[in-house]
Amino acid sequence: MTRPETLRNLLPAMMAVVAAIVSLVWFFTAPNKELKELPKVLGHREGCVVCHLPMAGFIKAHDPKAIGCASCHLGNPFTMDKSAAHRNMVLVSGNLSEADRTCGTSKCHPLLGDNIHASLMASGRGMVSVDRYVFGETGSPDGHGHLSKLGKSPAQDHLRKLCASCHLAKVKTKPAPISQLSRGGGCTACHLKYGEEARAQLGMYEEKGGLPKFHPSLSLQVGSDHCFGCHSRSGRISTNYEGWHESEREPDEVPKSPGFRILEDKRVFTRMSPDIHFERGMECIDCHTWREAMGDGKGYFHEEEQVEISCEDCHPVKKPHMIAREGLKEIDAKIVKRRKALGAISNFVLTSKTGLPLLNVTLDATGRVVVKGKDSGKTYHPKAPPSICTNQIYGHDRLTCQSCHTPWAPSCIRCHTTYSRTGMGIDHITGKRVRGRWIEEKAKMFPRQPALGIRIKGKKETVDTFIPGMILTIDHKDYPDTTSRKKGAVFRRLYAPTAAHTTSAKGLDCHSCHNNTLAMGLGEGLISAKEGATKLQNMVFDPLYPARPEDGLAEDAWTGFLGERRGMVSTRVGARPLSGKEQRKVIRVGVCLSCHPANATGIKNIYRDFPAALRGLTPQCRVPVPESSGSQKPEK
Amino acid sequence: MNAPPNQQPSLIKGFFNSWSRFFPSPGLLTHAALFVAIGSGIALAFGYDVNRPADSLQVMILSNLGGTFIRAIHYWSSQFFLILAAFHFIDQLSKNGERGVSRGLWLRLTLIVPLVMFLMISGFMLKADRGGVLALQVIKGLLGMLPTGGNTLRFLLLGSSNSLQLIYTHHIATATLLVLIFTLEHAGRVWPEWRSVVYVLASSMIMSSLRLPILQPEGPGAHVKGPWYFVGLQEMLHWTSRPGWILALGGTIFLTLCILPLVSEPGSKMLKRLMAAGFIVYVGLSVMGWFFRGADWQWVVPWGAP
Repeated sequence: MTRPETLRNLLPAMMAVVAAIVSLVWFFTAPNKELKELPKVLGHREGCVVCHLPMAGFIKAHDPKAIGCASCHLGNPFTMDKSAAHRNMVLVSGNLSEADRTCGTSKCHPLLGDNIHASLMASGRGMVSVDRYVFGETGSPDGHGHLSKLGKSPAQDHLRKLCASCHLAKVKTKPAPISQLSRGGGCTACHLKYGEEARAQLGMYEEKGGLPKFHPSLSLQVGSDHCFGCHSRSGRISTNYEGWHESEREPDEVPKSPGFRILEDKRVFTRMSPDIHFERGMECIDCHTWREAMGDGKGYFHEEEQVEISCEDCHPVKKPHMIAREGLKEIDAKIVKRRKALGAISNFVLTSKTGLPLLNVTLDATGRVVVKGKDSGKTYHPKAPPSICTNQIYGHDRLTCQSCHTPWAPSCIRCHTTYSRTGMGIDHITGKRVRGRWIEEKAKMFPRQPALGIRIKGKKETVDTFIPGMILTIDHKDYPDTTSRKKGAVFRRLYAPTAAHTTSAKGLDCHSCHNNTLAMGLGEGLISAKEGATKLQNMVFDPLYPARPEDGLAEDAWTGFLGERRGMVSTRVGARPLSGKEQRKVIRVGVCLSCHPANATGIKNIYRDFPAALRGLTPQCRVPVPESSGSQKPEK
Repeated sequence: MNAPPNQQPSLIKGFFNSWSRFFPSPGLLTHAALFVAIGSGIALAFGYDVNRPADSLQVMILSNLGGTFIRAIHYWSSQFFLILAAFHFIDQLSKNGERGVSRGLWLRLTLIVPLVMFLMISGFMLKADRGGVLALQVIKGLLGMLPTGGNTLRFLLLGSSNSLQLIYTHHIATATLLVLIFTLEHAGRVWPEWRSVVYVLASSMIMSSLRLPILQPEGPGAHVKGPWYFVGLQEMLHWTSRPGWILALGGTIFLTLCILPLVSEPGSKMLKRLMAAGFIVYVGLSVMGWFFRGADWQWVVPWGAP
């Protein structure tokens, strides 16, 4: 036999030997030997449960015996090979990037999976558009944007490094219980709940790598702690709600006392009056609906557009519209069925804004509103508005409930934002440390009564509460790109509307607005009659804080005394501070209040028909004719 | 019958010369691969239930070692059969082999091309997993676009119901028998050469041990691609809004192959060059579709984040 011929015969023999060895090795190491029982879930066999059961901790609907593991964690359930089964698996399920393949599939929660992508909590659309507006990159605070899809402009870089962790689309990468430091995670940001056993099993898994046998639950039990991580920042509604105001103190500067609270991120808070709803034991979800949290499929610009509840839904001035249980949409009916606390409700109050059902609000036999705690099952009987709210006092028809029921809100009056090209910051989208950092030098933050301003709701003007969210300078001079650098330092004085979540049961008294320069948007200060004035009382305003050189207004002011500010004055289209004319009206009442208290009776109660009272002024009456102190030019 | 003139281009000639120094010819290996695929297919049929195709395969893969291995051998021997048949075809076309057989036999051999493609894609559909179900939808849609006889052809090949019964019948009987008959007639022998069988079977066993063919899990949005040999077609379908043109192109290539012996030698050479260029483009499209397409057929880079 020639050499090539020998080789031609030898090669197949060698191949056969190699194949036999490799096949035998495979056969003896294959994982699916002696498998007797193969569970079937959602119409298919699932290999995952063979290794991962028993697994406790689930509610019935999410039991792996019913939906398996791959429904949430993906991977390949049709193989017993560990690496093949775990390929493309997601350890932390529920992130919105995979929601259409996990929680939001047609077999599970298709509507919610669709809606969530458009919701504000997922995109932070309002945050993006307002920030870009403030930086001067867009001409309107209304606009599209997404905190997970930011570009490289200064505003977007600012968001990327300071704000982009706070939205549902932020990807959660490690299994962890919800804490004050939790951010993102999609569906699990709200619906994941670690009990003690689940925490212990997670600890064991992290320490020793053992296979956990107790899973955190995924349920409708969404505690306020789930909201706290993100909502204790910016407007700080979570901390406001519980009656905590952020101070500038360091943790080691404060004693251990009920008057202080140190959060996990080391911010120190001081005790303030909590929201009445918190005092009564209500959780965030007892007021807020699933449509507000997860979206209704529409892409709103700002939170107040996505929020559908209003005070009068539970404190109605007239009988609210109702819907019977049988008329509920499938998703609402499902929620009512799942929530034990709501099982007995047969008729549901509809919101006045959207006409959609509040699944925990009903009327009792006497026609009084009854609110059930969605998780707690507690029963609340919200009071009907007192007569002062329903029998309109002259001139108060534009006021929202919170204008009078917000005793305080956190207010920061100055922030200097600079970019440091050499500093290191964290890109919250990628989670990586990157060069370039935004530095915010903040002034003291005060817990004080918010300013009143005008907002456009529908086509109507309303008086609402505003806080000085954006009195700041942005210094671009160190920013890498030349065009941005040329902008230099930009000064802005914008107030933002606020739903402070510090609601008081008792409304503020008349002085709180009519003799309060904060409420008028002037900042802290004193309005007084000019020295030596006699009958014609000329009024002057002495601000507490010095004027800023950029616009001549006091540091904490929104507008000038009797001045006009229009244009770029708020983070919402059409919102503005009180005009000079409106301020005059407020002050005029304030002057009268000094002699005619609001609770006066008889002739002294002049406020029911104030124009008539003004026609009957006596020589003793002080008539305020405030002098105009330099109205402001409209802002571009 | 005249022997074909030897005008094989040097690159291809060099490749097949080196090949034949160590291995049996591609023709012999193709013959062997067909037998291994048929044999393993017969064994696989014992565990496969066409009335519950997905479930029967899931049960087999998850709990039956022998069944899993036989299925893997069937899969890999089929892939080898396709690749070796393509090699053999290129080898023969490059040597003007179409002129060395009778016109009737050439026509029958040419018919093997669509038959093999049907065997491959029907095997893919019979898995009844996510990929299989989508492939069935695509093929049904494509056949329905034929201007005349499309619906009839669809009915004859795929049946009218959701059952895979007719496809299964064609897969195990009609198409397999036709390919076997045409192959045996062409090969001039019934049983394959022993070394070729060892090569194909051993290669299939090694590949089966290293990489089991998997079933694609259900669920929208998952990365679902067709079998590797159809990814180029998927890429073409992505680019065009008129899939009918793709069918027309396929039909034209088939007809071109059929008439090759009738065309003058210079004309045949030009047609072969055109087909070679088309083949290279298709390989390029396949590479693009396989490595650079992710979920929803969006561009991705293979080294990027999953």
